[in-house]
Amino acid sequence: MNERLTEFVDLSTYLTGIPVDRDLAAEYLDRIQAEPFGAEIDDLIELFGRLRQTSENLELDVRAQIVGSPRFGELVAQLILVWYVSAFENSSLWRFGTPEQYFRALIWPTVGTHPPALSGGYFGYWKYPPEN
Amino acid sequence: MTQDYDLVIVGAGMVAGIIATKLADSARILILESGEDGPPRVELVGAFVTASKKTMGAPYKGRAGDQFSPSPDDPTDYYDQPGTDKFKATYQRRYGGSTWHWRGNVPRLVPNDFRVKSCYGVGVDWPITYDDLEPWYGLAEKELGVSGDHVEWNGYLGAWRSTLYPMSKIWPSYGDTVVKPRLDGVVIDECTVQVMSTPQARNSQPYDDHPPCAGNSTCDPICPIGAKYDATRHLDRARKAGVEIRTQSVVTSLQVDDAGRVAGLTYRRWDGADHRVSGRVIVIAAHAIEAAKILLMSKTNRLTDGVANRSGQVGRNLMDHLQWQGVALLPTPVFPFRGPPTTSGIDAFRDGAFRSASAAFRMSVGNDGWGFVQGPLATARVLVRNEQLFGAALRDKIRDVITRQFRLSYSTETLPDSDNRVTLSTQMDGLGIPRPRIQFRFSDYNRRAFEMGRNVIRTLFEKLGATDAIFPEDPNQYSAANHIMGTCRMGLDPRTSVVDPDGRAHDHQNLFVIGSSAFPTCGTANPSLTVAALTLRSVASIRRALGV
Repeated sequence: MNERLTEFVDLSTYLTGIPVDRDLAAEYLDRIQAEPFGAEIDDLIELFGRLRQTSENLELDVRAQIVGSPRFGELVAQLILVWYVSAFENSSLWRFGTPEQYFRALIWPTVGTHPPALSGGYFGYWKYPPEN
Repeated sequence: MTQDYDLVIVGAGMVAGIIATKLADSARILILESGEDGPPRVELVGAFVTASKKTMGAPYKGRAGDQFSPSPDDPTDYYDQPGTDKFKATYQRRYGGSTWHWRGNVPRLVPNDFRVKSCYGVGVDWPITYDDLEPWYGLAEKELGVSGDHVEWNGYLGAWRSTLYPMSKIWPSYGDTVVKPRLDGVVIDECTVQVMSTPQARNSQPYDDHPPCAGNSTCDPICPIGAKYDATRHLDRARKAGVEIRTQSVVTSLQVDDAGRVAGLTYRRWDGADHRVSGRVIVIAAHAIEAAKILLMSKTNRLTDGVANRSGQVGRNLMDHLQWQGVALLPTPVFPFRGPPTTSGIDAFRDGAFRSASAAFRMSVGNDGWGFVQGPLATARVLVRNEQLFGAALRDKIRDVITRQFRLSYSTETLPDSDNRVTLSTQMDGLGIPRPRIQFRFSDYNRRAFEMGRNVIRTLFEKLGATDAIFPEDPNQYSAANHIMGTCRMGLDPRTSVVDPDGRAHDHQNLFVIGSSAFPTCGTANPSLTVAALTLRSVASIRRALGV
């Protein structure tokens, strides 16, 4: 189980472009497994692990065999979205998890802001660009 | 249960809160509120962040109020609207009312807004002038706690100010500081653009036992920390002062005696039981649509058109500010979603000779990316699903695109039209009370303003070097500002108006209808500050009616 989670963390880090949190990964793995599109998650993890070991051009192979594949395409899109947004998406309708997951969605720090409703900031901070 | 009071107020919102705190030591007061009180703010924030659709009602829905005291959250979930043009404004029925989800922007009306008929030959004139209301605007700004820049606003478009703002302005967003130097001084249609700080009922320092704004960015629909004014401030104080506030109590009718006085009110509890209460003076403060409904539901054999409706104007002249947005990408990042969704605006088009043919409009400078055209989650979805990006390329594109997203909005005045109206539907809500039936028409006066607004935005985008601009395919597409006005308009002539300038009903000496329902026209200012000013001004008249 630990090894599987580690592999899921590696997959998520690669697909999002951001090192992901292991504890949050465990929560998202559970959520994905509960979804119909999550039926392929183990095969996806296994395929990615294999490509990482053997591929000469990982990005090309991931695009062809994972992101663009009919078998894994939907699962990958949902996986990336749940990390960035904390929600699964269907026809522009979002299904969120917990408020804590929303606050930890990757999109907020990526665009230099705080989670909505949780700024942790001081009055007027918004007048200045983000420090990073 | 004792049911006789000096003053009964219908609707626990800002109007009720202000009146009750002013009169709590002089009268025995009952406030009847159709919605609930609670749950705690933190729970409402949690409901919002996990809501599938981030609407204005998102924090407050999914509760028993949906059935027993429904609040509209889209054009047809509560309104009965058979027409093609939809009235899209929403409001919130709960302790604190719509101030829970308002944005908190509080510009004043400008002097010519009170006399559009005399100046431009459209609409009607108010029975009061800006000069009449000006002192009350100052008091209202203190009452709500408004942060603003006196020097910037004093005299702009003729709106002189006799008092300073209680708090200094909400600081402009980083995006405002980027665009202002490029836009100030641009002349379009003889109006000179100036990016100005927006006066806001949002603390820039500790005020009234509430903290300063910390830039949580979810002002509408909910401030997580109460830095934005909401009416619970006044209502909580009123409660402590001995005012009784009875929630989950939906007023269904007023009873009028032979002398024309409102002798009592009937209200229905959420358990379906009806109760009656009386007051020497009654104030209807239930926002424009519910106020009209209550008066219309009160018809009898003698009052065949309902209470306070000898003029036939109750429910008519329904108004909102109709608006839309232009969005684009700026050449450099402006880092939206940090701070309030807007901190500045362009007010140059709020008055001018063009108003004889085309609506005035207020523009807001967005600090919320592409606003409702495409939220950040939707942008992520496009990049993931449509462009199939992943990894570092996705991360970098999300950052590149969203940090440069920028929007300008136009929010247009609507003229009073007696055919834009609220009546009673034959469809009932969960308590067997008629839903509001709404007729509404998008007029050529607004259509021309939309065209002007879009042209202004195109010009300003050009000045900014913006790219990838998006305008609606349907040029007449509009959204609501949730500024519901009209329906019980004020005037001097009882044949053409419902209430006098103090909000007292022409037809019933002990009945007041106070709120945005009393607006004869709507200008382009967010209405709440004007509502607060009118409310404060009405207190003396209510006090006289009470004899205290």
